[in-house]
Amino acid sequence: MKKGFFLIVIMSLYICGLFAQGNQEATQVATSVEKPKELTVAVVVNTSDVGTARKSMDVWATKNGVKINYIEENTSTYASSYVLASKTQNPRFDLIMFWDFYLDQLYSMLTPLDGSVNPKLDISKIDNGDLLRSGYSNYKGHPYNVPYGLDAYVFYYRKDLLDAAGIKKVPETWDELLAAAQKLTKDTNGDGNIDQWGLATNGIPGQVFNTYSFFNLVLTNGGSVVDANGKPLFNSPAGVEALQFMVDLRNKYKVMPPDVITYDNNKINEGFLSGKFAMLLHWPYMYGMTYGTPLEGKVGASAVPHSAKGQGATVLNAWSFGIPMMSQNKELAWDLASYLISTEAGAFEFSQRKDWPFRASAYVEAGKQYQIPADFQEFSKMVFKIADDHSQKIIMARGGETSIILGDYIDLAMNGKMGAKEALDAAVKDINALLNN
Amino acid sequence: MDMKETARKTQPIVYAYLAPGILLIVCFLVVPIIQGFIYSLYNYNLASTAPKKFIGFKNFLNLVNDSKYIQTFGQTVFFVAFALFFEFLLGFLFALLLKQDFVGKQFLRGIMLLPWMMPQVVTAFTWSWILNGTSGVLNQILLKMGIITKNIEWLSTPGLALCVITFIDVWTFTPFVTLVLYAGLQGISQQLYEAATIDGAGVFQQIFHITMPMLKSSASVAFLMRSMMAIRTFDSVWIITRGGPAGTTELLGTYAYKKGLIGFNIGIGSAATTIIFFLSLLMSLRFIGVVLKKK
Repeated sequence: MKKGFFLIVIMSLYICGLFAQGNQEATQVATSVEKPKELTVAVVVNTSDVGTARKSMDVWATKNGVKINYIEENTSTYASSYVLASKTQNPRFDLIMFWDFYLDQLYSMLTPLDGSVNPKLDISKIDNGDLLRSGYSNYKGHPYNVPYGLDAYVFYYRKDLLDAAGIKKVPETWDELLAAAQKLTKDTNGDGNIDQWGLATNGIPGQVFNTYSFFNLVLTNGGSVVDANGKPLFNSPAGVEALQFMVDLRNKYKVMPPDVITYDNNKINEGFLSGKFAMLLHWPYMYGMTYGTPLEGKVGASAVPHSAKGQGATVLNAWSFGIPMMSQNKELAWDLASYLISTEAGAFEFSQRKDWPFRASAYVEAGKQYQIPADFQEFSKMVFKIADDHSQKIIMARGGETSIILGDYIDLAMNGKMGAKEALDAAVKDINALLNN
Repeated sequence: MDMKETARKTQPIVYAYLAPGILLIVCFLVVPIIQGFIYSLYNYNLASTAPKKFIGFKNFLNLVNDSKYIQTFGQTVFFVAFALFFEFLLGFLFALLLKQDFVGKQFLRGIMLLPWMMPQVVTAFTWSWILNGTSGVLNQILLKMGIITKNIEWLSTPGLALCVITFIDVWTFTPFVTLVLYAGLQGISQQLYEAATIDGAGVFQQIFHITMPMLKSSASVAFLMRSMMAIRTFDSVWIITRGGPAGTTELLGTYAYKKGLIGFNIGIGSAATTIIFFLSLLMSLRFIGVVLKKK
């Protein structure tokens, strides 16, 4: 009877295998017969960019008679999903949405967009001279991403609170930032606890949280984060000073809340909008979030303050689209990707006031087609100028792993468990050991 | 002989009915576990073009030599031990309370289950707001009551943060333990207590000599399930602290996730999850024996 039982199990497995094989063959037969145009597109749903991107994709799909099969991913798992799909060829993505910080781990599965694989897939041909070049700069010798949503850090401040504290000049240097933050950190209700903090920024350990806060300070101190191959340079004297400044803001000067080390984007958004932070280092979408709140009209923005020896600078990364090598519809996917960074789609993207396109003409077109508040247009011009003049793209080698290592060491320094130099040296040592493994 | 003959004839049918379920278990449980163990023997990075390379138990050695992993392991032991201790202590007390007759018992039984019924992600987000050091409602209440004069940094104080994570786990899963123990209490014959009372046994004597021994099976089931769940806790840590401050809330589940799925290092990630699997198996072996032993 045991033999009978095993026979049933084996037969069942065999039947499952036959079914899978038959399904594959059916798919192969189907693809050889002419069928309606279809694209499989991966979108990352918990981003501000996906809303406008998806609507634009639907517009393009309707115009061109193409069916788009959306596969929804989230920010925590999309990179691993794409990598797995590239190994298993399932699903066979035609276009994927990703943040170009992860380019080092994704580029090997992406089609170079310089015409080297397919002459039609050449981003320089659709540049038209008004596409921010830093959005799609080469990595390992080729561009791989079509940049959709511009992400650069901005310095936000409460104009009303600065006025009330008698701060006439918007901070431009670290010293001015600290002085202003000290004046703005107060106990507003007399209960002995600080409830208005001078400054806040992303502080939770993680790939894009405390690391990016640190990156901005490194860049504004004249330092570099990584070299052209994504290997760490952040333990330079400039980097150590930057981390020390970040640590001191919390531990020594106490102008950042102690629990800033648990702050992700949600906590930062909530804290600023509810008036708990007077100044902020954050992504550009924060400005649009102030509309319809008590903070509307009270928020100013400028470039991230720099150290005495540094200059205005910021990180620049892009929510992008790429065409996987496994795609069997590369030219169609390229048409879609080109549309997404067209003036028309960019104008729509900008009109929703959450994301910033990389094409300068999109802003002009949006001003003509949509009603954009004047202050938002001013803010956006500033963001675009910051991205154009002072930004640096950050792509860490094996960014998924190395940024976690760095984030954990930054956290140790922020908690006073390690000195700034010790933490960064240890991070570089661990990262290099990983990269050389 | 007839019965044996009948049994022999019906056995194929029995196996046929069992086969789909067993097939599912094999495909979705046994095969992934074995595959995970196999991957743990390789240097395998999903994001790398280099092929995977067999390295034997080197991943496990690397884990053992990683001070961060040792710290994480210790924190997990602390978390599991204290979480289970308080869940069972409170669960037992609540189960005893629910066994009594009082007004509002049904209502209390209903609301007691709410923490367990809420999705863990929702629970984690809610507590992270409640415990916010600057503006959390818990600090506001304690300040207004005069219990504290200064905001407590619940989630950003090393040491305290892990106790808070443990508390959240106890808050979430005590209802489950209560439910299981309450069901076990229902199965204890009232006559035993009556006989004990007649013999002069007090309340505590009855609890220790009747209730607790009779609850061994139910408690074993609850312990089996809770220990396996606790050892791979992920949601609350990931949402609330991501393993901080200073790695003091990192647990084996988040460590394995960071290594395996975010870092794409399938080899190390699989090694970490294999260790979790064997720990769960070890903790449950004793109690599987208690649950499955034939009377």
